[in-house]
Amino acid sequence: MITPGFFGFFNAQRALITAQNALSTINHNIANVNTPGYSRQRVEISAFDAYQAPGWQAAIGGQIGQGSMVDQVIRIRDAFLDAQYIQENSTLGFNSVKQTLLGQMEAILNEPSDSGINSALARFFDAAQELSIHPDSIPVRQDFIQAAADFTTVVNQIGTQLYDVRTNLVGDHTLPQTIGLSQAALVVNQINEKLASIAGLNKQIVTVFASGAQPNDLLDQRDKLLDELSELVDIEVTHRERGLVDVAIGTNPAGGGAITVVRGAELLDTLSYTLNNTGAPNTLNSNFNRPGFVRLTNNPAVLFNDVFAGEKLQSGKLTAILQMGYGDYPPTIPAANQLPYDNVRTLMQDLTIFMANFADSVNDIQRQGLDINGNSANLTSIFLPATPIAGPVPLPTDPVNPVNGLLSYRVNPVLFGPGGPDLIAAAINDPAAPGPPVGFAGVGDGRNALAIAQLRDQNIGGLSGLSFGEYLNGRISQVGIQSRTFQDRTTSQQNVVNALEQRRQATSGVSLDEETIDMVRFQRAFEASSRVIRSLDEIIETIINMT
Amino acid sequence: MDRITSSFLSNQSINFLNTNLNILSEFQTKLSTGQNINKPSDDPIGATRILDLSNTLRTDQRYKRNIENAIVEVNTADKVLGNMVDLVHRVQELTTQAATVTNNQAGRNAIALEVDQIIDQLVQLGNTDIGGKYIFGGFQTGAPPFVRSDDYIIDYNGTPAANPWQRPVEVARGITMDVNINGENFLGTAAGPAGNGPVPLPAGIGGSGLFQTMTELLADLRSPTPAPPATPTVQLEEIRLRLDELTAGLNTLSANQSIVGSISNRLELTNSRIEERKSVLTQQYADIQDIDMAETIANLTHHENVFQASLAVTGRVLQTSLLDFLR
Repeated sequence: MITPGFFGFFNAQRALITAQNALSTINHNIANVNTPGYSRQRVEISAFDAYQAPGWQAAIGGQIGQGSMVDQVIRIRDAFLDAQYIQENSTLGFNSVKQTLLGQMEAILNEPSDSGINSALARFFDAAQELSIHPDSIPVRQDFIQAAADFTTVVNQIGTQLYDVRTNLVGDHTLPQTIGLSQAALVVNQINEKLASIAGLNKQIVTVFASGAQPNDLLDQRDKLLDELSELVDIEVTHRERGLVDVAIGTNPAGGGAITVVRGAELLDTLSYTLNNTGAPNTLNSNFNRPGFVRLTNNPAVLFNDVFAGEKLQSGKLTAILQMGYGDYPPTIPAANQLPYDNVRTLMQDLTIFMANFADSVNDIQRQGLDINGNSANLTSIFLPATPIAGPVPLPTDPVNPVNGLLSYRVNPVLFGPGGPDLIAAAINDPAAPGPPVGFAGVGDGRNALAIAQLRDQNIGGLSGLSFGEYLNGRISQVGIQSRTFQDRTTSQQNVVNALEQRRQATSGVSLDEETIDMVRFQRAFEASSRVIRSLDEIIETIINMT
Repeated sequence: MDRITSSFLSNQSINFLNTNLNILSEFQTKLSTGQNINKPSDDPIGATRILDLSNTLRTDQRYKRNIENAIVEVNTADKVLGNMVDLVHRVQELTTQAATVTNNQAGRNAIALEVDQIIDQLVQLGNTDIGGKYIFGGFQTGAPPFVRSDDYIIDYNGTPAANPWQRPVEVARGITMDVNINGENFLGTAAGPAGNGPVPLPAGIGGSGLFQTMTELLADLRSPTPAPPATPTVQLEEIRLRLDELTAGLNTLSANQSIVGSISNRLELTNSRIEERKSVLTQQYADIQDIDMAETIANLTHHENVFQASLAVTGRVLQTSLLDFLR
């Protein structure tokens, strides 16, 4: 059988090129060993078409191979793991934000400690007891006022801190500029950037596919963006032909919740977080409690956090931020297997209800009593803002400060003025007492102060029949329980995501040892092919020199 | 079998080291504070108990202070009543002396002088105060309840004895005790005519209780002995009559003493109950909140070893590479 004289050179040349390509890919893999989101690449090698067309075979007794060629450089990746990862990562993003915020709420409540709201309340009642024993002592009266002021200071502090946390999360609708600076707006911006990048990458990917190549690195980049996006918000990813993906935001078990925002190379819509100025102030169950709306930019009618339209977002950081920041009031009753819905907003509301009841109860008793001179204290409330005796408990959103009622509570400034301590009504108004003035039993009468002190153990109707201490402790432990739950959930979810990530690494990660072995393998192949060229060269030289 | 890659190993190492450091940091918090529960989420159920227990302990502490304060007042009242009883005994002796026929006017005048002083002392005792707070005036603690404006006039300015207006002190949850006794109950008042001369009979001296008796006695002693043929018996009868009234006054004082005694007993009893409860609650609190040092340190040592082992294994695993062997 005769083959063309230089046939072998081409064959060897292909082998060299194949080895070189393989080495380049190994080089690329090694270079990206620490690149996040990188999938290892592999050259697909096949044998080059054999010499001589079919039909000639009989004449020469067989085909002669023409060496090897690189078909394609592919990336090793498991799409099924990606889908799982996106889902679990979304839940992790949700849980970790909740864990952080509940931890912050715990820190703000600062219990158990000697400086928390509980101790301040206990100190107030202690001071009332002392006053009931020594109503005639001005220093004891002053200490009582101080204890009341200390208590409001602690409450104001907690109020300020909770308000700051909430404003940082979702903004304050009375200060529109805070909406744009809030975490919610920030995350929405991040989501939009990522959506735009994904659409852009889709465009490049489809172009490369059209030219017949595999855009491995572009696919990696895009998949990494999808991973990152899934941490921020719950997304549905649909894979389409030519490496394209569609991204839909939101999930709704009832259906119809997911809204496609990226279709292939096309960015259909983005999200926006804008001021919500609908809804009447002080109606608790309205959108008013949501300072901002997450909506579609091009189709603003589509809301993602509308109290009336049901939730469209289920997981991801954005969902956690919105949930922790706005909350529902009254809290939606959780399903049997769900936790009570807890968030910064609800805590603020509950503490405001607590303060309203507390201030009213103390004021009621104070105003029925007599001051140190036997004069009626009807016009001297201890706590402000005050409501009329037996009036309704004010709405948790106080008119003085519609966003944060907690900040408006303070001790009546009159009590700090000259003669202020005299105005505390430690004595009761007893019609049988001879006075003077009639009704006043004497400066040693501390029975009204005792009534204030005994509020400690009284069950308060406005607090679902709990005493003040029980209500506070219940609230504190509820935050504690939730915080604990989300710590545990985050830990276990982190484990799930880690396991998935490791499974992905097992499939797609670059192993330096593996690459080293391959490097040796292809280096040898390259050397051997070079050697073949030399042999061929020698053969030809022999022929030339011998003839 | 899984492919193990270098980034897999390094990620895993970081996770393991982080987990171990988290555990160590928990130990650090526990051992540095000596407390199991530093925030509610450490143990939500335990934290609720801690909050309840510390509230109860704190309230009990408050009740204890209330009781101690009340005990001071009650004990003072008890001592003062004792002094009063002694004084009335002395007056009884003097009266018995004065009631004998042999005692002449000069002698009775001397006795009158002493009785006058004893009345002053009783008024002073009735105005006993603790730190400026008059204890026998009911709710009127700001001013002395008894004022002797004239020899036969002693007014009571406190809350009327007729009304049981007493100062309540909360000694246990929802339980209040009245701690004071009103001076008018056992000292009474005197509303006699002004001046220090004889008192017209039978009008005598108005008022009530001990002070009425004493001022009347004083007036009787000061009355001049009637000249013969009238016998001094009328006057002596008057004085002897006072002896019975003094006994009645003494009885009232003793009755008040026993009231004060029983208040004191109840206070002491409640106090010791609070003490007992305190030790039980403190024990419970400690069981939940205080760490078991020995156990915690043993666990810490265990986790330290684990951490060191994980550091060591990380060091070894990450260093090995095929490249070390290819030359």
